[in-house]
Amino acid sequence: MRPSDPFFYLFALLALGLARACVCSQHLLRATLYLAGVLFCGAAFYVILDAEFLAGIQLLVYIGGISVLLIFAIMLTRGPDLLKDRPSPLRRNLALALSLSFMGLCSFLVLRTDWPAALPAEPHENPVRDMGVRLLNPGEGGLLLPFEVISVLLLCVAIAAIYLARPGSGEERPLS
Amino acid sequence: MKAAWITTALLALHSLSAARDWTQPTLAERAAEAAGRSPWESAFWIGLGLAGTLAAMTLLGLSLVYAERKIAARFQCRLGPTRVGWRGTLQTLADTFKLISKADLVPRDADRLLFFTAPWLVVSGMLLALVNIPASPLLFVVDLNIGLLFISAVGALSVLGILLGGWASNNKWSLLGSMRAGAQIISYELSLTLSLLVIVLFTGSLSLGEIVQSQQEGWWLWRGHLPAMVAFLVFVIASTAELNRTPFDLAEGESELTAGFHTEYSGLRFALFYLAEFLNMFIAAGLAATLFLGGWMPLHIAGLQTFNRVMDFIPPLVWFGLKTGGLIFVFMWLRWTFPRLRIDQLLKLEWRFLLPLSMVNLLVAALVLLLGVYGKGGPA
Amino acid sequence: MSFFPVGIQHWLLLCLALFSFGLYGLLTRRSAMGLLLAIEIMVNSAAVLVVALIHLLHPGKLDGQLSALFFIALAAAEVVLALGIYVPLARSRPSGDVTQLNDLRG
Repeated sequence: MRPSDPFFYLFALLALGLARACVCSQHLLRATLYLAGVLFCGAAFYVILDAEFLAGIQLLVYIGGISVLLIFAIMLTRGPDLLKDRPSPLRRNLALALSLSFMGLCSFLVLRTDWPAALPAEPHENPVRDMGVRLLNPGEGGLLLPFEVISVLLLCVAIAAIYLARPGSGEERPLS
Repeated sequence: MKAAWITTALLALHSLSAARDWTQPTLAERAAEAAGRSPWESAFWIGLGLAGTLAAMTLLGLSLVYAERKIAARFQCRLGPTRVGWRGTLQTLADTFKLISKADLVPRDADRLLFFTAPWLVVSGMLLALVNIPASPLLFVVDLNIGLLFISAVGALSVLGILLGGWASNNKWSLLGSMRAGAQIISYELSLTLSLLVIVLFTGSLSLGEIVQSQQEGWWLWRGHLPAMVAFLVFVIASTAELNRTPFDLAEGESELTAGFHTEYSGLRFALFYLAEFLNMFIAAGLAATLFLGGWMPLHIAGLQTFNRVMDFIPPLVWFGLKTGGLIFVFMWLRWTFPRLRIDQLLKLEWRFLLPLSMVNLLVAALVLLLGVYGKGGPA
Repeated sequence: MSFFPVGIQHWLLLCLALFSFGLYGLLTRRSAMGLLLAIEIMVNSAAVLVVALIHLLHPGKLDGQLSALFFIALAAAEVVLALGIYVPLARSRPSGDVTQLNDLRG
């Protein structure tokens, strides 16, 4: 047993509980808070997996960016129907059966398969610097092209979002 | 008699500053190192870290509120609190007891779960950032290798708390205040992070301990030339906005929105919001002091041997306190001098001025680093 | 399979469970926001799984962390675009119910 193992179970339980609350809560704003909790647990998982930098990025992007954005969107479009979301019993049971069978099938396969033994972790000298070098390296094992592609994609997304949210586009009126 | 006291004080100062070894292990490192040897010693260091953080939080909260009231009073030609304790020093303590003993009101239509969670989100975001601040080689709780990223990331918890608190109160002032605060904080986060990146570029590290170590030759404010100075200015402006302090206090502008997102909060929960606000100011000032003004490093001027010796004699904690205190005074000075901006002016300032400026500044910093035109002793 | 030490199967099962919760949400939600939340859970569980597998099978390699970085960037882009479509839509329609959005004309 490694010292990180109890934390794995602690955060796994927390994440599962919060994920359940997130998809079952009828109140969308609360569901967003639960989602932020799940993502926080995700950051904890990254720390358990020796990926501290990724954990920081996860907190910064997901909780600082995405959760806040979602809450903003919910607040901006507040309407009585928007905040409640209750599925019909038929829909719920069907979804439950589908997701449970998916879970069951996959867990069966996971448990049946003979996985190779996990290797002991190797401490990394300076992961952040190495990741930066990999991301900007055009040569062997470098990820310069995906990095550039994703930068262009993010730029496109930013422009598209501004265009969509511009007052006067579509039927929507300016805020003031 | 007096001479004996002075000698004792000097000796104490000297013993505090005698350890000229800047690479003291942090409390977390001591705990981890002791974990294999004896669990009790490890628990002792962990307990010391926790108790120290809590004590620092309480003391700083009380003294910062007192300082704000006194300084505000002086700016307005008043005296401020004078009655409780010597020159009113115990006034904030008395106010804290008053707040704790108040009735805990929750609006009838409030979303109770979110209403109760929000203050704790804000406080935990603040506490997680506070433990990273290096106050002195001996008083350093944890030195994460992603320290700077971590501090800007946990700030997100506060934004979340403010947004949810304002929404859960079910009050239009709270909602407006929290939306303004949210928009303002995410906007200014951009230029704040870009100005931090300048220092990350110069030191090549995100760890606050290493950033302080890198300033042994000189503070980044001087050694980093123009980009560091611009970054420092942008940092101060953007963190004033992040803290929702005047001239950027639209989020709680009392003449428009009563008290903004915490209008409906009372008693202990209001005290938590208030505490977080003041300690966030301390964190911002401490971060600025650490990044740009050398943290606990004493002021050295190249070539002046005697002067440097004398400066070395002052303990690191005092240096950190002086720099942080000075910056906190600047924040208070700004608050009681400038009028409040309008929301469009505020957003224009960020998107049309600070953001382009800090982007260009980052490019200039990269050029400075590439051409190697900054002070001696730097990396690469 | 025992509880300790935590190995590949534990991580796989955890991420599968999280993914199934996301799937359940995706199938039951009617509002666009709810769907977005469920998708976020699924993306996040996949990213954690990639990091965990690379960490356990190829320790010392950074490929898992790098691909998770791309996951996070893509998820951010997706949310921004989805909200950019959703906010004007929710203003022009009374409800954010995606099952009612079945015509192409505005």
